[in-house]
Amino acid sequence: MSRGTEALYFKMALLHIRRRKGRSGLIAVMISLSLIGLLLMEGMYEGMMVQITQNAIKTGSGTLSIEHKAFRSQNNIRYHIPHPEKITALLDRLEGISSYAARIKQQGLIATAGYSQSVEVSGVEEKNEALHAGLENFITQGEYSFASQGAVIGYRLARKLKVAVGKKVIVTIQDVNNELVSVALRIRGIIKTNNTAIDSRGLLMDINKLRELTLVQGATQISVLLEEQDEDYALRALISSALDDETIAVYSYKELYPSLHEGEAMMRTYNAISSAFIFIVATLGIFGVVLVSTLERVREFGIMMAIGTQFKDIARLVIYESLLITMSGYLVGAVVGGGLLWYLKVCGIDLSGFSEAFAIFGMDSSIHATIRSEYFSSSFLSVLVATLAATIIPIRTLKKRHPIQSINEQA
Amino acid sequence: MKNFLKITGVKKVFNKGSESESTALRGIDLHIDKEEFIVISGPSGSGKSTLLNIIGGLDSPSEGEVELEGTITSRLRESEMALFRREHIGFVFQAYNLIPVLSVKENIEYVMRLQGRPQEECDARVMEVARELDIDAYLHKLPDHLSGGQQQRVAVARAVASKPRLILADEPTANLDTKNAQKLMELMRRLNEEERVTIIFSSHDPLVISKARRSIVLRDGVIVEDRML
Repeated sequence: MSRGTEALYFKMALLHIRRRKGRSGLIAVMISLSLIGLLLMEGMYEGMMVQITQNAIKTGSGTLSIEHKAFRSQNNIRYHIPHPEKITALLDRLEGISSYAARIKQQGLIATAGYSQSVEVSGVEEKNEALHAGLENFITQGEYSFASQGAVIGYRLARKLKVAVGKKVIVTIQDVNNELVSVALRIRGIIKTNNTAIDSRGLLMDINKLRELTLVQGATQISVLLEEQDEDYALRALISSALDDETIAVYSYKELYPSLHEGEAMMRTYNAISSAFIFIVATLGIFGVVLVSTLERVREFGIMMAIGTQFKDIARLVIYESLLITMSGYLVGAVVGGGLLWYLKVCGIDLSGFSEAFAIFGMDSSIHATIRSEYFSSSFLSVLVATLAATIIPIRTLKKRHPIQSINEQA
Repeated sequence: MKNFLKITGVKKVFNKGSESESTALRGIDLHIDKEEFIVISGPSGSGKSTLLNIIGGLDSPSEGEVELEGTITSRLRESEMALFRREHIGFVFQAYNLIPVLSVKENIEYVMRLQGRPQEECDARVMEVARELDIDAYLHKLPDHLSGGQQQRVAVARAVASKPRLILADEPTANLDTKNAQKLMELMRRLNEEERVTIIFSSHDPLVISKARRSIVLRDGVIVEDRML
């Protein structure tokens, strides 16, 4: 087929669309709205999952968590990393590491004059942790400081203990010899990370002070953040092999938070089901319009075939026309939906009224959408396949007829 | 050229095997030479349109063969037949059958563009044919904006523009008044003589029939008369 004929069919497709602009517009609007809805749903839902995961990763495990192999199973600080500097020296050399932070974690008891409850004490390097986990950003009251025996506690824990900034608490923990030690700490800040473990049971204090108390000279965990989250398994293997130390274990956040990993998989499944549902609805919509539009022009197609147009060119015309309608709908939907998604990525959506409920699920009250090229490519593919699928039956209907049958159809 | 078109034992049965089975053609044998100007007449239901459709490959015979310039067209597949029609046959329909979204010019040049002819050649030929048929003032109009007579002239222009060897016209004057019908027949006669195109048309209008040089009369699917006028 020559370029001139191609242009002619393209023009004919456009003219046909213009003749039936109401119907064509309706299907384009339907696709646009479906796509906008799909993009917002995918972007917001994934945004929520990313937020939950990032909150857990940043303030908890890191993308990778390096620990003594027995620490997690024995839950005893005797099993710690005695020389974290060897590991941090390795991390400094590796590419793909965004940041790392050494921590000591120990279970204990926190008490005020009137209340007491279990607590997870985290000894962290104040400045380094601020950069690594961005803890300063999570302070809701007071300041992020460990100066003068200071500590920062989770907002739910503070609420349970009925303590405010400036008040003292007594923390009792076991040292490496299983001896009880206590320390009085002044609350410098209250933190809301939306990491339930920290918000409900967490107390952060200076790592060196905790070393003095626990007699742990190294760290119980080195939290590592990666530049590319999906590189976790590759870098885990690299670190394990470079360390060549059977007492040290490197975990991916996916192993430490299997529910998050399952949540991500569930999100992908949910998005796939939603896409499939929208795809089916779109296919039916497009099919209806293409079928009616084709059947009411059977005679015209018969004439075209009578004067020498081959059937494949008629099929091409029907497909061009359908694609022009659906792709214009896709384009509008992608631009508007993409714009909205960009706005929600940058500005987020403020759901402060539901912050308590969201916090239970590890989410902030401000949800930020994510944008990935896959949203657009998969929906483009869906619309393309739906369009082509929708044209099959109308085209087959045409193919079964002799030209004269088509011409006499509505004569 | 002798035996430009050879029709041998052509039968056409519609809805074969069903209650509504009807036989439109009952064994047609016909030889037509090049540059003939033939009218096929007969009462309604005699099989005129069916015969023209089978000659043009718009429908297939239930039995028998159609051979056009050495090609047995009744054996061609639909895609091959479409190409054959594009290259060799022009059609003029009773109901004009123009493509509604295309302008008059685009309708006339449509077949030539399918043939892959250069746009300059198409433009020149469209102007030539349009002037001849007196429709050059309407080239950029849509068919819907023309009268019946004008639309039929556009249909004729489309049929002749690509210079086919055969033009088939199924009751081309049925929707025209007497004046326009006569003008159309004069035009087709001139095309036959000047462009040396073989023309076969169907009609039951005596005035139109009288313009042909050979008359074939069908009744109940058989040829009952075949004579030179």
